[in-house]
Amino acid sequence: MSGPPPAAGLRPRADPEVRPLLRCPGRPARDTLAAVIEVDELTKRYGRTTAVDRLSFRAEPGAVTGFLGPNGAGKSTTMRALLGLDRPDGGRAHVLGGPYTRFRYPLRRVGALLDAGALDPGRSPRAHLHWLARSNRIPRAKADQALEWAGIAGAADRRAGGLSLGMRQRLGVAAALMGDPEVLVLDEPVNGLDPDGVRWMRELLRAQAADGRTVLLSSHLMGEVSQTADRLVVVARGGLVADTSVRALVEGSEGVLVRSPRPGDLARVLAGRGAGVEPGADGALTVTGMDVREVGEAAASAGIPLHGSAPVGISLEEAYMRLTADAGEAAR
Amino acid sequence: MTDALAAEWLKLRTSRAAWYCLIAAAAMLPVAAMIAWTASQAWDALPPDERTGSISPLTQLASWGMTLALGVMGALSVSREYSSGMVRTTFAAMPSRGRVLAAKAAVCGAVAPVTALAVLVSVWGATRMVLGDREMEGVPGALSQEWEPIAAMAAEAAMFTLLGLGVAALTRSAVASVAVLGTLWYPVPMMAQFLPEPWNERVGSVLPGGLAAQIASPGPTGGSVYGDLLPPWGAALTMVVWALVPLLAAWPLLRVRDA
Repeated sequence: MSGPPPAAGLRPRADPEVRPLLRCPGRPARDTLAAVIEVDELTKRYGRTTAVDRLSFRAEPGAVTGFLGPNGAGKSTTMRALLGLDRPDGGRAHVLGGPYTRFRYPLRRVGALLDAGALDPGRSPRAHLHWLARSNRIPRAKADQALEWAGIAGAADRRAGGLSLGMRQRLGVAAALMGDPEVLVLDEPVNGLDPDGVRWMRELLRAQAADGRTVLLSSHLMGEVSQTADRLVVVARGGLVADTSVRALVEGSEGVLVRSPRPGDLARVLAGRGAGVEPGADGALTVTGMDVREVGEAAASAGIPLHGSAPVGISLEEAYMRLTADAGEAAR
Repeated sequence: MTDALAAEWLKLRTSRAAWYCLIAAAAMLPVAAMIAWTASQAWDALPPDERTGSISPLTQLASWGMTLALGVMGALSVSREYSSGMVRTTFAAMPSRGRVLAAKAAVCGAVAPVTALAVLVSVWGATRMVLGDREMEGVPGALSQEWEPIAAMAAEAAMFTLLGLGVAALTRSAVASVAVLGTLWYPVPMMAQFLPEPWNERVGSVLPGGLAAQIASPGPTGGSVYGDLLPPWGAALTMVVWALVPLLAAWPLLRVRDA
């Protein structure tokens, strides 16, 4: 095995007062064009279930990539494959230009939080970080520092099993960041966090990305990700549904609310022209993929009267629901 | 490898489960001392001319209890990682899984015989102190005569620990690995003695619990459920097989299985 790359985490810092784990003034500039996380045609089956089906996406440095999908969409499986924990049945999942398992001291390159409960409940948070640090030659002081900074120093010597989920998430984040990695892979890190914790996490991830690091953040809730992520990779049923920027998704999420005495006919006509049509409770239709003018013209050419039509914004949440619901139907 | 060793050593030291097992192993000392004391009281109650009798070697009894406790320690050191999901944290931090397994085996395989040695020497000392100069058969002699069986029993403790660890790495289950260990520890030798001749003796000779006595016995082995067919070197070799075969079988599986 080749020797480890020089660890940025061991370099003395110019200013230890500046929240040490957030900033890294000594870090050399990296090639910002290279994809740091590269998932390519990844396929993973468990028995007869295909958890991930030829999934491809990339995550780049300097940005938070939101990895979004309903429960069971294959997000955790993808992340496990990325960390070399599960073996892909096809394709590959690479970090920093190769498989994760080639790193001798991976915690200094890639920080990961997969499952906050993945620790011995009888061991204290401090002891947990100490053995992790030792396994990757990270100074013990960094582990203690991380406990402080993650806000769990007060509970550092209690049993980890007695910690709340939010505290365990903070411990997991401390473990992921203590090695000062250039890549972060976090699976549902805001689960169980209180509102303060959610904001802490959001600011933390933004700061990490602003520092030029690569952040892959999974969630099943659009609301959690849309304020943090720059890009969105949306998956459903193991496959890619959308790979887009948050802004593009917002812009593509405009719709038209239209009322007609013959909503059924109108829906057929609009759908025939490629629009997305969703009937509302009061007989109104929400149309996507067409603007007000196009809806009006389509209705007129079919001879269907309109009682009103107006552009409406669709929430990101709704846009996301539609994306994943469509994927569900396509798979059926 | 030093990093993995140091990390696994830290883990073992901060594992409650491991401490419980070590405490259970150490508890064999008061148990043995109590038995010795009861025997001494019974002995002293007899009129001097009727004082005959023997006491079975208490180091052997202590070793018997300890092998299970230390075997469970080995099994839990792996299986608890699977049951808590921590194995993912471990393999994410140390992607070389073979190295992790080797480090665990080295740490447990060192802690177990050292613990066993400490407890056995204490049991030896306590027995001598309690029974003193009573001319009871089975009272241990000087350490210069007793060190060989004590060393053999310490090796047996290491074997059981590695056996537990290997089976746990194979099964990934605390229940399954402790069940296998417990079965080999008690019911299997009990049943083996009822096998038809000459198989009872043959099987009894290679079972893990009977190997230390075939290397060096602390006293009369009459009435043992185990056989006595192996020469000392053969018994030592069989010990190595029990300790390493499950580990070596687990090694390739560990590398290809999903964590």
